[in-house]
Amino acid sequence: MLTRTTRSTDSPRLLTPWPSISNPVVFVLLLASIFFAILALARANVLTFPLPNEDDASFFFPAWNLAVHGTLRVPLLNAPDGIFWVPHGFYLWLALFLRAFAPTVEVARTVGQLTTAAAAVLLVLAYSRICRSRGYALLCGLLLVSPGMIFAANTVRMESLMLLLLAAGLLLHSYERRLAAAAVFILAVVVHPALLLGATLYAVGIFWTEVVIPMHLSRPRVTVKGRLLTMVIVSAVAAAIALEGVYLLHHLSTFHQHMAYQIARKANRSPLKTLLTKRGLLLICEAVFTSAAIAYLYRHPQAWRVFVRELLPLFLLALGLSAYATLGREIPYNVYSYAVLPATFFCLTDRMLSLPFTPR
Amino acid sequence: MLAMAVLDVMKPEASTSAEPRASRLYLRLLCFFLLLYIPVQWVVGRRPGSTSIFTSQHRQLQQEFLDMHVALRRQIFSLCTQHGVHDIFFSAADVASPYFVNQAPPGCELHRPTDVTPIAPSRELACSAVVVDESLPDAWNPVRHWEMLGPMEKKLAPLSEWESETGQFGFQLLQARACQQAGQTAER
Repeated sequence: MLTRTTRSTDSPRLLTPWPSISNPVVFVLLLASIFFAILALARANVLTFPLPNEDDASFFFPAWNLAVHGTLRVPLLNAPDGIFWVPHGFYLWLALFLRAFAPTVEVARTVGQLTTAAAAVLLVLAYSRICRSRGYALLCGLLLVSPGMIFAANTVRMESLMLLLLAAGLLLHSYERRLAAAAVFILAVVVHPALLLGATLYAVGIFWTEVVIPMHLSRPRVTVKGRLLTMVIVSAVAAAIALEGVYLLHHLSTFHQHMAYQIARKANRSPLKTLLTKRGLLLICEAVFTSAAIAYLYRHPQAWRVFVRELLPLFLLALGLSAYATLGREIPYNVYSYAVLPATFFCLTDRMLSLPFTPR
Repeated sequence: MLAMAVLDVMKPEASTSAEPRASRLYLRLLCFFLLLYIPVQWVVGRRPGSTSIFTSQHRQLQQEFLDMHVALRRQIFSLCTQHGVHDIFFSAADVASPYFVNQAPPGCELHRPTDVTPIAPSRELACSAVVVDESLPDAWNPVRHWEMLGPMEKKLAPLSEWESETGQFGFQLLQARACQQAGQTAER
């Protein structure tokens, strides 16, 4: 039986004799169980789901080289000038752990498992704030204990870190720190381009909020600490992007050469065929659902204002990520298409259903 | 948690007013679809490549891969310390080198190209070089394959090979034919 816990301002939605999720200790225990469930499932399937694959080497060696030799040049991969077909954020992140513990692929895989599990917990926390129900957020969390997440946890790739950044951004958004959230989504672009379209659409969404909703309604009253946090996050992200930009400019010809290969590889895939896959059909459903929601809510001014401020940027972010995951057509993107995005859409829909519907 | 404490933002006006909740029917329908999606997700996502989650062969595959790694390390160590080999070339599809890199034998250098950074074939044909050709189930497609040596295949001859108990994992160590023939002549 589903238990609905509510915030002090909300009235209870479903009354059950089982109010335990409203107890923070129980909620934390359930979050911990999601964390350990993902960790345990990943450990139980290590080296077979997925099998060892070439990506392990391609993404491990640059981080290994940075941790052991202190340079982004990777002579071992015949890349004496460095690797430029993906950005360098993941290598820096992984190298920190390889340096701190041991420069082995086992440490790299453990970092992926812990990061994925932590991302799932942060996502559920964000869902609980977005849909204002811990019980429903935990139900969405069940979608995260899934093959896609286990696969992401067990690969030495950047999906785990991307999930952590996505979760951190969603959490910031749920606290009305929209600029900081946008900065975190944009930071994800120096890890992997998967969020490039999503982050852009999110930025458009929050800009639109400023246009559509009167200033005094759209701007949350922010504490000094909150403002400071936003400034720190935005400055750190700007510095990270500037560093990546300067590094690319210093290696522009290698960057061109590596990206030409990537673009040629991805351009071989027919977008039309891609849309007729399972992922493509999910994307179409998500796009149709979002459009229908926009069309319907537009006629309800009170609900429309809340929708535009709280939910629309997240719908746009999710659609952007879904489009990338579908058109990118890589198996590791299953974690977005089949796990995180459906969970996010379920959460957003639950919140949408509780908006104040009064016709225009 | 510290960050959450810092994020003590007050809610904006629009959402603090008491909001009507959705009807129970819609919420129950949503929960129903959510719960329905869980088994669907496990069915769709459980087999994205050549193995499935909770495969019955888990222990066997894991053990055979580790056996391959140990055998490869042993043979490469022997070549580097006793047979004058200085360069070990893996292929762009190699999976073993990350497990090997911290135990590379002294005096031997590992090379592992990628599809974007290929290695000139002439380097692999040097007499101080050995090429590692791995065979294993493909992580992405349900086929087992030997790595693609391409046009190099005719110029190389096997020095040694290894196969796991069920034959799912294996490798060959190869060297330029010309070097092997020269070595045999010198031995005579």
